[in-house]
Amino acid sequence: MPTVVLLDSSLSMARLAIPKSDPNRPIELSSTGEELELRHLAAHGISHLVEQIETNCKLEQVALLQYSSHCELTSPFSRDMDMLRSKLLSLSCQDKSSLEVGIKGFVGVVQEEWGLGIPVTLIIVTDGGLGYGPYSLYNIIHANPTELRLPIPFPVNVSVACINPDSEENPENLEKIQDSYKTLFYKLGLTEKQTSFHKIEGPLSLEATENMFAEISSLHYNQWVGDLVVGDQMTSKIQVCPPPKSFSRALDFSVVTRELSKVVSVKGFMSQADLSSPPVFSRHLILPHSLGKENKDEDSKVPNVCLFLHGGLKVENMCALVEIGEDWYGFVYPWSDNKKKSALMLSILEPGTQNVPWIGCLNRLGPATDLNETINSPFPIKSDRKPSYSSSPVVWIKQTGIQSDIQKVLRHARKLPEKTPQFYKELNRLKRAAVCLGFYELLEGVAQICERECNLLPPNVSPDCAIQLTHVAKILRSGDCYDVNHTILPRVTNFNAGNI
Amino acid sequence: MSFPASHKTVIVLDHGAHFAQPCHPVEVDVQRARGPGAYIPLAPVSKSVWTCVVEATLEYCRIVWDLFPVEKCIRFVVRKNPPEILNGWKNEHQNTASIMTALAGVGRPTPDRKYGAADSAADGGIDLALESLCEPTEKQVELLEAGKEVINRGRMIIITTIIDDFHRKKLIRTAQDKILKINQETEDNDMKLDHVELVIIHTTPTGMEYRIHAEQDMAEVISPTLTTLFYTVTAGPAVSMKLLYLCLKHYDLASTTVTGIPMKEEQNASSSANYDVELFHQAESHKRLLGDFQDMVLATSEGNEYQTCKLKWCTPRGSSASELHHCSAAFRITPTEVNSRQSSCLTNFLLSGRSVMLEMQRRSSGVKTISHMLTSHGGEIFIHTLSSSRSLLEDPPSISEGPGGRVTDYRIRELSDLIKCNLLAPFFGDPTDKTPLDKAQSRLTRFTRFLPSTISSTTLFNLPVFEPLHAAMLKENLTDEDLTECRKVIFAIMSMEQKGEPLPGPLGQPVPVGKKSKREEQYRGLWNELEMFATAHSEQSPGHQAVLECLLEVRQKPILKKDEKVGLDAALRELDKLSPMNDSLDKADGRKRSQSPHSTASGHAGSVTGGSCGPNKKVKLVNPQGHTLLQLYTARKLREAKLMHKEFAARQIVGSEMKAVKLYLKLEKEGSVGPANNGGQ
Repeated sequence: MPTVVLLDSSLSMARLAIPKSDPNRPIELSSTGEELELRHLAAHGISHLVEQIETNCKLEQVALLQYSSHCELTSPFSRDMDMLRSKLLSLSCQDKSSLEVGIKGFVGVVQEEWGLGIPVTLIIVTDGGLGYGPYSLYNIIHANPTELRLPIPFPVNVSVACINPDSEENPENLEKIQDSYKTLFYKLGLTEKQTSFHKIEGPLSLEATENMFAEISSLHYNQWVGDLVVGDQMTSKIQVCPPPKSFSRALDFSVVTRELSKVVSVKGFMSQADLSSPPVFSRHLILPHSLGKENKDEDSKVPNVCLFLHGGLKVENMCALVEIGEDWYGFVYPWSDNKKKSALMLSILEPGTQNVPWIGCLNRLGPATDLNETINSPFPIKSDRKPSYSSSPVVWIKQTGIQSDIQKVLRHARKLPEKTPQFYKELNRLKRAAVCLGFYELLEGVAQICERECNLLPPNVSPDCAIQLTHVAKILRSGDCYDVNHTILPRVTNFNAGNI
Repeated sequence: MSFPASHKTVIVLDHGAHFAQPCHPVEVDVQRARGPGAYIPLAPVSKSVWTCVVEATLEYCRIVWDLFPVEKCIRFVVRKNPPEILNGWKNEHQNTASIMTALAGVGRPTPDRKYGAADSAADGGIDLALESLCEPTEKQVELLEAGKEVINRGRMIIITTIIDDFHRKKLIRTAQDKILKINQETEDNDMKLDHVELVIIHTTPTGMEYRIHAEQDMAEVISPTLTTLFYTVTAGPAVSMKLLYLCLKHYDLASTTVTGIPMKEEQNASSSANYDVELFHQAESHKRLLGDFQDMVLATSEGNEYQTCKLKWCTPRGSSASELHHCSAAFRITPTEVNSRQSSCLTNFLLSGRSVMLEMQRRSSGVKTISHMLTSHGGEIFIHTLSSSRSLLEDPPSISEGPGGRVTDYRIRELSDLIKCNLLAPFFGDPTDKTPLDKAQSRLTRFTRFLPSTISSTTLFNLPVFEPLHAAMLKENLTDEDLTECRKVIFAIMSMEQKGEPLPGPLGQPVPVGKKSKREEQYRGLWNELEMFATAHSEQSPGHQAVLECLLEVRQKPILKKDEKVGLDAALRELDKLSPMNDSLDKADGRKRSQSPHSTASGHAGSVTGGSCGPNKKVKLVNPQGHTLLQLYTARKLREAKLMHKEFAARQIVGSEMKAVKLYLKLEKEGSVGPANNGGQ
């Protein structure tokens, strides 16, 4: 999920991290050699966080927003962490702390970029100042937000990194700050699970700040590392991004919960065309697990099962069916966003074995070699149901439905005796439907039409036309017709004897 | 667990005199466009209330059963005297054809029956309908048998003519009393009626509301077990419209209109006009996309009470169907007007195997995105919801940027062949076999147990001579011919080694002749690879095992598995059996070469070049286990005898009599150079 770092750039962030009054502590300097201010700690912490994101969640998009009395997008959503880091070097402090302005900016940036469907992580980095007046945090919690509309319209997880010493001498009571944020979370419509508040343990220092941010990153940016296994010898450590989640959903007759196994185990292969875009629960990128930047070069020269499998699947447009939990399957396939780059993807189906009707029951698949050799693919599995659109049902709700069915009968009638079987087939279909619907009036109506047709027949048609039409009209008026199993049979004449 | 009421529905139809009234004139005769003679069209015929109601309910069922293959069950009860139930909960009863046949059997109501008299019969109908709701469906039986919780909710749709509010209340009371009665009587039974939604549809040809004071479409809670809704509708096509609305509501369906479908005209095949086709499907299809319908372009469907979402047809390009799309949901669809020309044009297009993308325009921003795909699978048409918003997976890093990315000689072609050998298919074997998928996996395990991933890491797989053995070993079972073929390959490699033929190097190029030690190393690696390969497959069948044994014998390695299994006695017996042949074998030492098809022609040349490296090889091969000379000698004799024995099946049948000796003599003559050469050094 995308991340927004929302950084407080109010003037209070320019306070010194270590009060001059404390002569016992060695003076720490910021990376640019200045005396350490809160904003330097913030920048240091953020760069630490970004580093974690970079190693653990390769695909994460991070944006940096700064807020004071106005909100500024310092670094737009990007995977380029170096760019973000470079912006951190030149943070400056503005005026007052108006958190509402910041949150408004955040909502706008996310909506514009990601819409409403994608969950977002928000990390607020602040000294915890409540501010004053409209747009301040103080105002949100004690009154209502000035402009912001609540709740936030998309799913969001919030962590607050509060850079302020947690000591008794501190005039700004940290507990009070924490309570204020709790109230804010409540007003934003967030549950306790979606939020966290972090403070620095002990006196302020670069190291303590780092620890706090490590806490945050362990909350949101954990790696998911598992094994990709083909057979029992072809295995590879893989990282899956974004980390897959376990499944829990209440269905009509059961509650399904599943834990993900750490082993992605290949069961067999299918062509992508046979798989035919089934609905999936989630989609992830599979990356060969690397041990770090140091051996990157060496790593890239050691053959890797992921690469091998990717190549093998790609040349024939195949995919691998994988088991990822109890009765829980997914598939691994090569995928490219554009033509140049290709990646290995994992799509996870919803738990269960019957989710894809055209593949059939997943654990009832076996080696294709067990089938007697056929040229045709065994997929898709033919449905044993015949949907209405392929069984030409009788629907006469609209007048045109009846009219076209009658016209069909008459069209065949004019081509008797050649069309005798078609004529009687359509006629009996019509008759049967009329009987089932209790629409006996139609039988009389069709009888009249048949009689009228007799009189309108052009001279060049076979005499059989008139004979059959009169015959049909007579039967349609008889009581036998009301029996559903009764079918109207052609009258045998000299003209059609050979055709029936 | 929602246990939705839509799982069980009973539709109760009136069969009284009210329903026998004519209500809707239908023009059945149309003026002919071409052909002879003008005529005055015949008078329209009239549909009865019964016909309109039956049509409407059948359409309701058609939609439900097209969209839900299971778990949405509908039964029919006809309120006549005595009341009649038309079908059961079972799957085979859940189709319109059987309902239609049953309805034909019921026949239509007659107008001469006075009201009042039918009243008690009507109550009987309600009783019967509620009782049928108590019967478990197939799904409920399955849950009960598994000892799982079942909440028995159901819906009863009564289509009737009500005189006044008193009559309506009486109807509800009848239902309420019956529910209480059922629940009292079946106290210990699991199948109580936990909740019933009673939908009353009042219909008359005149559309008169009589004296009824009930809100339309408002749920009225009668008791914890009964909720009721009331609808008034004029008999005629309006009944169908109302039931369509209810169908969408009851099953949470959405209507989508595919707009701008180009269709060829019959009269004018060169041009095409654009048409719209309306479809129904589960509303979830749109909800998964946006969370709700707020941002979709909606329009009121013509003459109907629901809204339809407009999605634009995108003319399909190329092979969009074979590509994998990221799709969050797929639901069955059914056309609203199943028999209309436009609908069948679209459904036939899709059933023929093509698919089409649909484009959605967001109402708020006007942005157009491809949001859905229509396609058919196995004879049913589905609407797939595609992901249309930005995702984190956009522009992912190329797989070649990570570990293993700079390796360029992956054996991709071979892996793709292996993949093709391990495709999955529906299992039609023993239906009690619970593990076909595991079977597929263990096959894959065997195939991948020894699979070098790069060309440079293997010599064996780069060796053309190896191919027949490779192909044979991948089979499930080996025939005698396969076995022969495998042995030939092993001997061919041996012969190559003895002749010192160069092997393909890491890049497939032959290693230059002359670097002897290097070549020996290469052969050693090759044998190891071959042994690993044969071991990987050895458990598949006795034939596979035999190939491994053959290899191990040639390599003069103990056959571990075989030894454990066979035991000393059997080994001794085998030894006894073979002993008479020892002498002749001794002389026939050069048989390896003569048997190898590759070397017979160039036997002499081979022996000359290969001769120099012979002794070195021998020393290396003979001594790894540190056996005594006698052990080595007998083991070797034994091995060779066994090989010969198996090799020539004809000899086995004849036995070890004179004929056999003769055969050896013949061989000996031909291959006499070999032993002499070897022995000479």
